[in-house]
Amino acid sequence: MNTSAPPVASGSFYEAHQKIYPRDVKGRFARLRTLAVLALLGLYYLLPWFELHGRQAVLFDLRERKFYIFELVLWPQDFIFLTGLLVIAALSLFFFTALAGRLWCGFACPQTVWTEVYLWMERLAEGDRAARMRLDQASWSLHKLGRKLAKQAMWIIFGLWTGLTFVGFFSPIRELAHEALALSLGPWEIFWTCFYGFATYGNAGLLREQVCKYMCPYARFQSAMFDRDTLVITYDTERGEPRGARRREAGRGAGGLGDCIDCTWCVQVCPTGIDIRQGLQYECIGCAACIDACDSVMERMGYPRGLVRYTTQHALEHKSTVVLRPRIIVYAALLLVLVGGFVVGLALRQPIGLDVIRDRNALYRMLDDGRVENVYTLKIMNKTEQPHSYRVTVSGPGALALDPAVSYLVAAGEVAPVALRVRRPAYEPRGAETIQFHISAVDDPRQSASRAARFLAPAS
Amino acid sequence: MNRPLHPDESPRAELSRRARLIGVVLWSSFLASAAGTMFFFAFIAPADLIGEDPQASLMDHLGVYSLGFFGLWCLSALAATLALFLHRVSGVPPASADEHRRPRPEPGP
Repeated sequence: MNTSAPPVASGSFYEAHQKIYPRDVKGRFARLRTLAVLALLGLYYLLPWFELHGRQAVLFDLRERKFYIFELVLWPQDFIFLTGLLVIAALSLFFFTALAGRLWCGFACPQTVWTEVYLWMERLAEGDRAARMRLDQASWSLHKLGRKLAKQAMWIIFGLWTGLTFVGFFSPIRELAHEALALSLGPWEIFWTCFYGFATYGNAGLLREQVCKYMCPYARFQSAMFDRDTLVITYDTERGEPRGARRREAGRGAGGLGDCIDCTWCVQVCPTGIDIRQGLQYECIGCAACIDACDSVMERMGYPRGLVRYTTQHALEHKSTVVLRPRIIVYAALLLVLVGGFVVGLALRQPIGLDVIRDRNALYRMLDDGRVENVYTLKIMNKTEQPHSYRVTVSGPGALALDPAVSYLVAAGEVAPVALRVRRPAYEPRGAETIQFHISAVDDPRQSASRAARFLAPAS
Repeated sequence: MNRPLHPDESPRAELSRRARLIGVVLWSSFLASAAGTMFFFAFIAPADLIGEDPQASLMDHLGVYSLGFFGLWCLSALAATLALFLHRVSGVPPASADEHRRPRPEPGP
């Protein structure tokens, strides 16, 4: 069991990896995690199938280079919003970690969520903890082979489905599914389905807690967000020790024993195989399985729950816990500012884009009527999902005139290149000037954009 | 990474140490290249690299993204390997459990 010193391979400085067989656990937190698994994985597997305005509702379309998130359509020019979203996600992680410890790890991290599903499949094929341990120790037989093959088949099929769904976020999933059924997927689609499927299989099926212990960068630095007021899962040493087995009839506190009956259930259910009674350890992902296990044992013994519980270091030391401390306030303030900025930015974002490129072949052209002409190519981006007509105007020093002076119809989500000539009297004013191009939608003048360009003309 | 084996180390331990180093390099560079790919392709479209018509080139757009990702992965793995190598040859011996336990020599009179 894991209460003894960790086994060390002979002559190695590294702890030899021992397979962990987490026991199934029932209780408040297990129910909460099941709920999180169903909600998050439901979202992952079903979201790409939803349609909106005749297209996939959530699609990071790599071919068209547009990200559709329900009503929102992000273009490569909106990269800042995506970055903002990632920064907000990271800061939220800091905030919730400082407040309530490793909530993310225990309930929402894809690693936890997928491991839970892979464990369900393992239980389905190989049975509960004791049966799995027996099966692994047994010599190879037809029975063992059948069970192992069933598990592997479930794992692989689920992994491939996960991989295909992943590709379906980047390439329309309905086409992808048809291609997959007709066995006509493109080489890169096959590659990424297998790549992501294999990653899921490897991380959730084989590596499991080792991902958290050795690979996850967040696990390494999350302790920096912790203080003595952070909610952590701890064993109440004062109440539990000295631990020891006893008869249920013996009564609480008989023989000078603490409340811990040393049943090791908290160790058996731990997905990372640690003993929570040895204090807070970095391997603890805060899944609260040990709380559920201990609570059920305490109930059976007729003792109060909470020998292992969510609490703070300060509370354990009989000091008061401060929730609103500087760290929390700073994280919350930063988060508020960023979310506010994100929402305002999104609200003010113009669903229209304009690029102006000067014709590089000629500096300018003198016309017979004494005017000078510059040629430009305008790229008008209609980022909305309806076609719009756009009116182009130009402003700047001198009597500027556009040719042709018409409106341009741009289809939904398209970029239209428009060649334009700008003319003005050659010497009023003299030399080059900066001019401004403006576009606005004919049916909605609030949709507008401007871009500066150089207008070249003879100085004398 | 050919450090002479510590007398307490077995060749198997060396293998496991090396496997772990490879894992660390590949994993950290994977994370870096995922972020790098997003950043790179936010500004550069595959069409800029292979032209508008994917039929005209040997590769479709998904292929360009994929190659971009693997190219960045190779590059960042190279950087991570170099960092490990420089750390190793800078004279900092890898900390081992044994060395931590060894008592420090007493200062001479």
